[in-house]
Amino acid sequence: MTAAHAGRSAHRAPEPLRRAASLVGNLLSRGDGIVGLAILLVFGLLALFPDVFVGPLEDITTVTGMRLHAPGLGHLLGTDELGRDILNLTVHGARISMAIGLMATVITILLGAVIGVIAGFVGGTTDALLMRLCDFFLVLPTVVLALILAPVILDVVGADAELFGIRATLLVIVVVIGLTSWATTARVIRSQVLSVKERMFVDRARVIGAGPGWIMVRHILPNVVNLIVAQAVLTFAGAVFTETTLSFIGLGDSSAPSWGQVLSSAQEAGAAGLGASWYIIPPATCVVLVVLAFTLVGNALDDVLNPKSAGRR
Amino acid sequence: MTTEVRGRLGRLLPDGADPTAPLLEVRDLAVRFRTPSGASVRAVGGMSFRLDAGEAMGIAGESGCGKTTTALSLVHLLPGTGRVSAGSVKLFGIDLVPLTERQLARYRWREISMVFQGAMNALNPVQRVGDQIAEPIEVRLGQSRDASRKRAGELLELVGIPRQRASAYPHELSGGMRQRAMIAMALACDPAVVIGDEPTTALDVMVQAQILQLLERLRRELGLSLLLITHDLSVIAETCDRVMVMYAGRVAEEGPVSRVFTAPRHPYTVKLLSSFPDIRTGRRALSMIPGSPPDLRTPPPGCLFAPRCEHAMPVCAVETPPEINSDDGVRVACHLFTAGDAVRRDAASEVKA
Amino acid sequence: MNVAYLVRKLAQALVTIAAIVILLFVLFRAMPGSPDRVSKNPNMTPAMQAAERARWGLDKPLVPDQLVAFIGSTVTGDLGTSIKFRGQPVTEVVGAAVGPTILLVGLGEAIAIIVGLALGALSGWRRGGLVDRLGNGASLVFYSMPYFVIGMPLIMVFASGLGWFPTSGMTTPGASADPVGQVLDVAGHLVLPLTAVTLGLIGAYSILMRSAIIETRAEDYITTARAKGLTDARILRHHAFPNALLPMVTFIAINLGYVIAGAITLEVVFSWPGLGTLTVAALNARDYPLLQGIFLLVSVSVVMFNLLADFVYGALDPRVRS
Repeated sequence: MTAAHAGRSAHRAPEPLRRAASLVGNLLSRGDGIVGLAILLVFGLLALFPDVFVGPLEDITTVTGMRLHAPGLGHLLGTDELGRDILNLTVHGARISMAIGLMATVITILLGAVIGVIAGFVGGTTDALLMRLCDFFLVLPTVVLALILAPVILDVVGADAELFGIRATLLVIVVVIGLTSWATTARVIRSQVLSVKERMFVDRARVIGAGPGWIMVRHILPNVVNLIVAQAVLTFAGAVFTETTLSFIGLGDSSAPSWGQVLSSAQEAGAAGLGASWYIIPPATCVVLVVLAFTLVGNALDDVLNPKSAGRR
Repeated sequence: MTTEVRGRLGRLLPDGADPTAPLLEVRDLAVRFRTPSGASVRAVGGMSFRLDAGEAMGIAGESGCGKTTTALSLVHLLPGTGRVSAGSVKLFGIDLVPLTERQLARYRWREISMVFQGAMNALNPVQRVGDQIAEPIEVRLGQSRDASRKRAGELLELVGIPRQRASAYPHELSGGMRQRAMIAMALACDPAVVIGDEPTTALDVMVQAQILQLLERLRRELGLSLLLITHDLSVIAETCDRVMVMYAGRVAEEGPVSRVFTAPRHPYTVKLLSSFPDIRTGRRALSMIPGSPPDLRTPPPGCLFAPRCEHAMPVCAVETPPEINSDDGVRVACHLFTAGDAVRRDAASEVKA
Repeated sequence: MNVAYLVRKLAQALVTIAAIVILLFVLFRAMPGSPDRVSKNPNMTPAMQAAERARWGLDKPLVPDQLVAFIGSTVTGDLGTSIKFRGQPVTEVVGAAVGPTILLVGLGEAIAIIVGLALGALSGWRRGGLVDRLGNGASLVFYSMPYFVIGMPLIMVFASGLGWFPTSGMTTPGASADPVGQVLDVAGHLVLPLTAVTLGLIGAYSILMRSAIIETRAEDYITTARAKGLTDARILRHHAFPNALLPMVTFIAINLGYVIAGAITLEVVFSWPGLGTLTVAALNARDYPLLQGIFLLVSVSVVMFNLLADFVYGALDPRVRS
């Protein structure tokens, strides 16, 4: 045991490839990790190549079926109130839901990592101020904030503005999720940075003469990368979850139907009351599967990577 | 047809107890842990020792040598995947190893209690100290709540804490006070054996001395039988009758403190003793032991200390040394000594140097 | 209890509330096109709109006049008038919707806390056992489901399918006059949404409690308790549970703060006449004063419950108390 510890330098970045390989190996040795990764693989393929599986996204002008028709040969999962094929909508929904989730995650992790590393590393008043800011953002209710921010953002950028092919309405969702979830990530990363810093004092010689920027990038960052990865995966689960909720209450873009948007249409069409289960079950199942899969993988990663949770006896 | 058997201070012994058997007799005890990858690690291998009534024995060795594991395994307290894989632990002649958790509960604390290192963590932070001391009296001895509280107060006074402090929470006490409270708790059911697992390690020197004096006094007044685990040889020298030196999960040397500390035989004991400063002889260069203990996942064949031993012979890398008992009560497991006389094969003076 | 601790927490809460009010001011007054959002009301004549503008001081400079006026009216509880509900004060409109939400989500929280904590504690205590595998699996699945995703299948099966419960609303119009009948009527309407909200909440409580117990299990004082020869049940009840509960207190209180924000989507699905349904109605009508009022109420309640969490934590944990 002692020999193994002595042989592993506390903060030098090991070869990234070897680390990634052992990480995947570790994940695959856990049942929940395998299930999660398998689900993500399937949905990843659907999101990347929806046209290959079900053809282009159907809209009101290209509908192929009758209205609210139960599943049958022509439409394996039935149709919606416009006659659109549910299978088609659900597969394309994967792309839209996961794209929004991904963008929101990137914003969250960037904000959270930068603020967390700075707060933890610089410490003092900066740390105190940033943590108060965190507290403030943790208190803001995500959904209601989204509701009041949406019109403001649309007024500022214009409803038809686009970024990377995503319309402004969806960008609102991305921004709001980013704004309300970075604080959690920042807190987690900050506490890890604090303990890394603690260890570095033992090994002070290594960092003597280096500037704070160099130390942060070269010595702190490699030690919190694991945690950032685990946090990113968990954030993605939360982002897909929140996007579904926001789209459901009417913040979605009907021309780019995510799963939440499809469920919102189903609600408006009264699908539950009409017993049109085929309209509700496919998108709902997809949301649950993706959120669950990301949560499983995130927890597994956290167990494997996070020294705190891995240290449990 | 069990007859009541009473031992020390007229205590009622467990059913099936043999009053003529030694208090605690451990034979060939082995403990295994399963690693996350599924491998099995032998943390303690073939330990034997005996503790008589009223005796204090110290267990010494580097950290990770299996001292604590040995102590915890006596009453099945090993964490996680740890299991006793072989051997016997006889208390009053009753083997504790094959007992179920339910049967064993009878022996915990009433017969074998413990004083852990760092009482801050070993005491429940959200429960009053008095309640924690009273708990085993009430639950295990079936006394009324009032009687247990009263007894807890007496125990606190016994270890030098005013009984009014019973209502304090652990964090409200100083480190030394917490350790005293922990000792009071260990005495709650008047146990046959008290195990101290590094009871003074987390304390500063002055408080350490006070706690050791307290243990000394309690031993004298109550006739306690004490198993003291520590890496600090001076603690053993001050409080114990006998010492057992462990290395990598095995006994290296065991015997009366007076013998072992003045005339160590096992090369590891020699090194261990010389790595401690001796106040009487003043400062001197401490000799370090080169290398580190073996990785127990892949133990080397033969003597586990051989890779670090200056006196290693070809046989050491092949054969596990047998334990040799000598006439003066010292037991040593080293190829340098032969059966019967326990005298070194080559010049004995060399080791002592 | 430690007075300095209380005062510090109280001050922090006040600062947070002040920051929320300023955020609202920025969003509704300072951003481009913002003032219009307050006064542009299709239900009002131009003259009334002008009066409204003057009432809110929109013709005056942003800082300090408008800011001071905004803070003043907010503090005195004057949140303006609703657009959708034809000039009714926002406070009244919001106030009427709070009751049903508290009934639904409050009851759901109460059940979920009891069941979730018990389930999580048992799962974590016997990690890998039957309760853990079933309970933790189910918890993870429900934790991954937005409220409405739980609610819609419930309606499909038990309301429109089997017809056991009504599909929507809180009361049947003109159903019963006597109080007992009314209570039973509401209870019948409550069953499905309450089930959905409870299931949605149990997951989070159980998962967190499980990991808190797992962490506590590894503590030295649990080894001490085992060494004392206590039964497993007693160790869990007297030593592990009270310690694992401490981190949960904060989480529970913060969650309770969201009772008001509640299950917006769930209320929509069941047409439950609470704040959630009101929020979506306000959004669809672009009723900004109403949205602003709801946001203020929700975030202030979250802050207050956070404060409560600190107080309760202080009362429970002797280390903070002294």
